[in-house]
Amino acid sequence: MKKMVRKNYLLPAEITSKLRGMVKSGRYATESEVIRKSLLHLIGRETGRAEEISRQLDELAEETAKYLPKKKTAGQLVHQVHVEESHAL
Amino acid sequence: MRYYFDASALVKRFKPERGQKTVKTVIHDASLGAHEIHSIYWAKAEFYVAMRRSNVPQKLAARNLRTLAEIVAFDPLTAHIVENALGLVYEFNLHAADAIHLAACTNLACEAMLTDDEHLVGGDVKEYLERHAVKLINLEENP
Repeated sequence: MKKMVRKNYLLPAEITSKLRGMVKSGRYATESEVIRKSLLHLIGRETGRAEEISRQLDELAEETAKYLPKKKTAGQLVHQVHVEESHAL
Repeated sequence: MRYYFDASALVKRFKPERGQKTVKTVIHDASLGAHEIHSIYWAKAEFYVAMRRSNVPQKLAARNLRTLAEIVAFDPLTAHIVENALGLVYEFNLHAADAIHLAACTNLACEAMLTDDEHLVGGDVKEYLERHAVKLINLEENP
């Protein structure tokens, strides 16, 4: 696996002190390990959230498509709205 | 990449037809943080009316919008955007709503605009967008 090093990034004092504490607790070997695992956890959560939203949108699309007219494209539907709304004014 | 979705692109996410795959991919990538998607509050109203006219139940239409809003940033329709749109109505003989989207796209500094609206894919509009460094993505020409 290709590794990229990011050095000299600044962290607030409260975070660095927490990092030190977590290493001292013995659960992590280094501060870098804490940061790496935290980032992987965050990325995993964000990926999960994205998958969940995609799944929800797919379900909603399946339900919505039952109502939308098949003979009109999305563009034609919206255009019809523009015309009808203009006439309604 | 900073994308702009007009109302037709938002509706396309829920309509299985040509161009839907492109919309799905951009939204999915945006949810992973790869892109930004912008639209305007006004597009919410257009989306809602399009759903209403098709007899989509209100709760379903509202859920569609809420879920989209988790990814799409709906920006305010400012007086500045409307002022710019006025010029575009004359320049390209557009419907007011189409001109608003075009003006919003450039005002929000988007780099690409997704649309399925045939009035926004003409050569003159494309040229205008290119002058503002915006790529026009015609959903009719995409999978």
